[in-house]
Amino acid sequence: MADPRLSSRLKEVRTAAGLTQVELATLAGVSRKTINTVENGVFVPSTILALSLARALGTTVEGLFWLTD
Amino acid sequence: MTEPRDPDAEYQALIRAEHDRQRRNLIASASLATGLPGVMLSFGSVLAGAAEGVWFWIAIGCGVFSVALLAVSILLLGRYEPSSDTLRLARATPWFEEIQRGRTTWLLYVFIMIFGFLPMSMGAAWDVVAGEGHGFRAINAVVCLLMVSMPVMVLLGRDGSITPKMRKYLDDEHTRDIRKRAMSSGFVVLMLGATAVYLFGLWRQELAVVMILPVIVLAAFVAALRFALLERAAERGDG
Repeated sequence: MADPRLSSRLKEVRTAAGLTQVELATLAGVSRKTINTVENGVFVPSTILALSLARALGTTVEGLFWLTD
Repeated sequence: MTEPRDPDAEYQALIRAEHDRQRRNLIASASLATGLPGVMLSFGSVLAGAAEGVWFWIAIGCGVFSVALLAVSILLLGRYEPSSDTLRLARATPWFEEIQRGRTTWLLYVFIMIFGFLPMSMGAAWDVVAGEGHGFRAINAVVCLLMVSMPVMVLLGRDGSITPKMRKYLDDEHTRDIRKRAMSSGFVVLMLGATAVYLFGLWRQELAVVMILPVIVLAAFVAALRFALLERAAERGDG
C-alpha cells in the first residue's frame, strides 16, 4: 500500500544503470509489477526487497529510498 | 529530434491494449453466456404458452434484452482475435508473467460458468431442504460449491500448479499484498451476506439455507474480481 512518507529514486537509479523493469525484476527475484508499483509509489517494499533492489543496483537502501519530512 | 526510446513505456502501452482486448472478450463471453439461455427461456416460455398476463410481457422484455446481449457479443466477438500488439506483448513478456496473466484472466472467466450453474444448484438445494432431493439432485446441490473452490484455491496460490521456481515470481511480496486486499474484500461481502442470511433465517430457515450458496459464490467472485483488478492495475503501475 502507498505511504506518502516514503520517497524513492528507484526509477532514476535503474535507468542510469541501463536496466529495464523486467531486467531489474529478474535480478532482484521479483515480478515486474512489483518494480513498477514501487517506482510509482503505490507499493512500499519490505526491508528484504529494499535490500535486494539496492544490491541489484549496486547502491544502498538510503540511495534508493528516504523519508519525506 | 526524436524522443529517446523508453522500453518500459512501450511495454505498458502494449499491456493497456491487451487489457482492452481482454475486457472486450470478457464482456462478449458474459453477454453470450447470458443472452443465449435468456432467448431460449423467454421466447420458449412465450411460444409454449407458459407465460400469461404480466408474465407474458416480462418474458418478452427478457427476450428482447437477451437479443440485445447477443448482438453485443456478436459485435465484440468480431474483434476477439489477438492483435499484432498481443503478439508483440507475448514476445516481450517473461514466461512467469504470461502464466500469471493467464491465471488472472481464468479467475474471471470461470465465474461466468459458476454463475450459470448457480440457479441449478440453488434449485437442487431447495429440493434437498424440502426432503425431495436424492441422488443426482443432492450432487447438483453441491456442484457450485465444488466449482467455486477452484478459483478460491488459485486466488490463494494453493492450486498445486505453482512450482517452487515459479513461486518466487508468482507469489512475490506485491502479489501477497494484493491477495490480502482481495481476500479482505471477499470477507466483507461474506460477513454482510452471512448476517443478512442469518436475520432472514430467523423467519425462513429453509430459504436461508439455500441463500448461503449465492453468498459464498458472490464473496468468492468479489475477491477474484478485486484480485484481477489490482493485478491489472499493478501491471500498468497504478495498483
